[in-house]
Amino acid sequence: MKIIVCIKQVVDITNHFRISNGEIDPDQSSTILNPWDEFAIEAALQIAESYGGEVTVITVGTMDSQTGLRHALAMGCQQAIHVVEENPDQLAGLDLAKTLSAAVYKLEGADLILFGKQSADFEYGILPALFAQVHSTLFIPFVSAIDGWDASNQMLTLTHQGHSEKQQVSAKLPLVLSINKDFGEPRFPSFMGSRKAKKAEIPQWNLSDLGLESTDLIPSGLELKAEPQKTLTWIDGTNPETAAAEIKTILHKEGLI
Amino acid sequence: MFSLIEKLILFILISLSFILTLKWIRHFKILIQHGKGSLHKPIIPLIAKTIFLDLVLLKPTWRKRFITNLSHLFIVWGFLFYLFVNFFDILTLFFPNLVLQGLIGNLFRLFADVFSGFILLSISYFVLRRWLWKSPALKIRPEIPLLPSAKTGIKRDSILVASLIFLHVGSRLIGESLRLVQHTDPWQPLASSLSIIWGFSVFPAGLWHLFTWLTILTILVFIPYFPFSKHIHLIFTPLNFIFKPERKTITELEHLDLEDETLEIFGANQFDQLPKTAFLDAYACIMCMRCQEVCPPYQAGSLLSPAALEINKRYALQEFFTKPETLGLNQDTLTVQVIPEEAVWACTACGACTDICPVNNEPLRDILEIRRHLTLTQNEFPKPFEILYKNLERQTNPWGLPQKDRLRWADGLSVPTVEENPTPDYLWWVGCAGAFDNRAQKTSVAMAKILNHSQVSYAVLGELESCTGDSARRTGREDIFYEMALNNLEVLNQFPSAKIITTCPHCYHTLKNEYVEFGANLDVMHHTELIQQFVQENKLTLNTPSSSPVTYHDPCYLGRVNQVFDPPRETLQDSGISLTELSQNKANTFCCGAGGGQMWKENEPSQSQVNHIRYQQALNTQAACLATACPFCKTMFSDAAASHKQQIPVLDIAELIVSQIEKEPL
Repeated sequence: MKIIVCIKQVVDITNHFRISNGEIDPDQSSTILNPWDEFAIEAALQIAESYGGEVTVITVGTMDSQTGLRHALAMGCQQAIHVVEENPDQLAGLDLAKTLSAAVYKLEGADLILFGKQSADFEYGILPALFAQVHSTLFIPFVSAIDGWDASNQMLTLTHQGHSEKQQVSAKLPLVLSINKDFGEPRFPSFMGSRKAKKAEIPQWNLSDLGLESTDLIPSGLELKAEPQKTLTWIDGTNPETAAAEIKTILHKEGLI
Repeated sequence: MFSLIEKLILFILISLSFILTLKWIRHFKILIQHGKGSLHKPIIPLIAKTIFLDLVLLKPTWRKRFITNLSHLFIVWGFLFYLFVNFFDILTLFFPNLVLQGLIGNLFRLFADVFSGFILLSISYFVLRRWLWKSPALKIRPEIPLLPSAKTGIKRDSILVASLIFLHVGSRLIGESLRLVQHTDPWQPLASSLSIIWGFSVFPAGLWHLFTWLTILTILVFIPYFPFSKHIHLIFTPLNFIFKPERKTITELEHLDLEDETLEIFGANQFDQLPKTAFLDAYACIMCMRCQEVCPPYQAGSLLSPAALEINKRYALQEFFTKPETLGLNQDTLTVQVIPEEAVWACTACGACTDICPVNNEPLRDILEIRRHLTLTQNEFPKPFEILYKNLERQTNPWGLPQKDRLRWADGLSVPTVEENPTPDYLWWVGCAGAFDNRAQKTSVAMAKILNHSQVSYAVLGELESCTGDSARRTGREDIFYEMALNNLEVLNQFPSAKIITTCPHCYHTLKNEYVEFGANLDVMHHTELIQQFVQENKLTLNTPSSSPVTYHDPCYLGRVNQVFDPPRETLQDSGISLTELSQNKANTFCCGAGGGQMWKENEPSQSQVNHIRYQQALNTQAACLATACPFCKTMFSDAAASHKQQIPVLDIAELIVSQIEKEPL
């Protein structure tokens, strides 16, 4: 089975970051591989281990994204592709989908194209669906388990999270799946894996390699605004009763109770 | 005297014994060749030191068990003298006219006589200790895995060795006494007394032949039997001193070349992955169990016993002794044969085992080599370390807190950074604990006040600082340690003339001793040393004596590993605080339980917990406060105190001192 996982480097929101001029200031922030994509990589590796196959990861982004690609290689993916784009956050979702689709075509397609459920920074969660639309492939969102694989009919049985309950469906490959976190904790890259990944050659493609022109793509016009700083009030907890009374007063004042 | 036939037989037997011994020496060589690396080239000063201090005076044994050591000393001296005795005895049997004459002869006979008595007495003590009053010091808890060959081997060895010594020395004494039945010798009081007891009127030639042959046969059997008994320690102990370089500290590790891309196996989980010195260790071990007695995880009832590690190593190697070339075929891993993984991960890397070992063994080194193998080569380690490693890689601190918050502990205090004071006299390495851990932050605040009060030029690195990598190294992730070391050195090299000070013994140790591997030569000082210096220079005036006694816990990496014992004690005394010592103090300190990465994981299954044992020891001193000088010790004891009925405050030396300053009008 040929599996491709589309991954993304996101702003580490557990760390300090700064927004200036409507954009995230790269000097004042750090990035990590989107944690949701780690779940997708884990799922892909599990599928490949169960039914055989190879896992390729693709990202569209700056040179910073190589960290994420190498992390995926260290986890056990066989190949990584870097589509170089200096400002991926400024691309509209549809254009990102087009770019990824072109990259998948260049890789001569895949049986499964996996996405994380959403990105941990912007949390739109729309890309998997857009990609499936652009790539004209059936999309099953929020997959939580692969239940069976019928190789002769190319049919995959899987469980996905519907509106309120889990559903089991069977579908013919190729498929686009978005993965939630039920596949289990993403594996921790081994030292041996990291060492190999560090030395791995990662092909770098730009838009023209994919047959796209930058004028084909429309900027999203996204402008970020920082929320006003939150204030912190310490409440002395030595006496629980006065502390509780104090909390009550504050909640009243804020109109929360 | 011996007949020609007897001489001929004796000659043949000596030759056989000699040839067999040579064969065994060759086997030892082949066996040890399986180890990695090379042995240290013996140097004359080290050989001289070994012979005088370690062999003759048995210096490393005296820290514990006085009576046992005294008995051992007599046996050692007796044995050393018996080398001459046997040589001259055999020489005299071949050439009866060759007898030592005059005063030398008299003294020779006197010492031979007296030492025979001492050896027999001492060996009786060891026999009684093992079999009559069954000293618990010689037992390993039954749940700790020992190879079946070790279980039977220890007993068999002990019986055989004791019997051979009794037979050899006893027969010689009897033989001498039989020679003296007609005329006693004032230079052989013991043999003379015995000769009277026998009551023979003529020289009993037959009996003399019997006992003389017994004396010689036992030694001729003994020598080639040595390699099969733990008694080979008397050869391998001196070798173990001579063939090891002097380590910078007891916790020094084998250098790992991470730049070498051809390396596919890191650390050790098979015999041929261990360094050669680990083979010497196995044969130097006499199974005295001192290491186990001082091992905190063993005392807490975990599966770790450093003694069991060495004993299992020895008996596993012994399976291959007669066919040493085949050791490489031994496919069983060390974690199956010699130490279970659970025990490997129970170690607190406190170094007590290596420090106490009288034969220069380094069980800690083996354990950390195995950890390296498990983490680097096999990717098998306790799950919580994933978070530790991730935090170190992403946030450069074990707590995983944002690097930007490194100086938040100093909010509201005047603590200069290197940007504000680019040429400080003292560069304060706050450490991740000092920066991020609630309890350790209090130490940092106290230290800042002390530094400000002393009006010295200092600065902190703020966001330029990151973890030294100690926890990564002690848990086997050498690559993370390596990255952190290189990054930190790049920062520290910008301040070549500053003296580095730190409140964390682990940072202290790593900066001072372990970065040397990467060419660093840093001038590092622990904060307790600096505070003591301030007190001596009258930069701190402490004159408000406190009436309640304080006890001081030596952090392993400050005390045992780096020998800083006195500055914290002197500071306490100079500030009028009365100090009551813990039962295990200074080099004999008992770990808090956080070391070796234990801070970042759950305890391995054990009956009790290391920190609780130590906290109880502190309570036993009746002190009103437990002082220490390490953020991790502070955390462990504070945790122990929190779940204990009787609670005493756990404070860093800096906090105690700052409270003395603050009492004064500033």
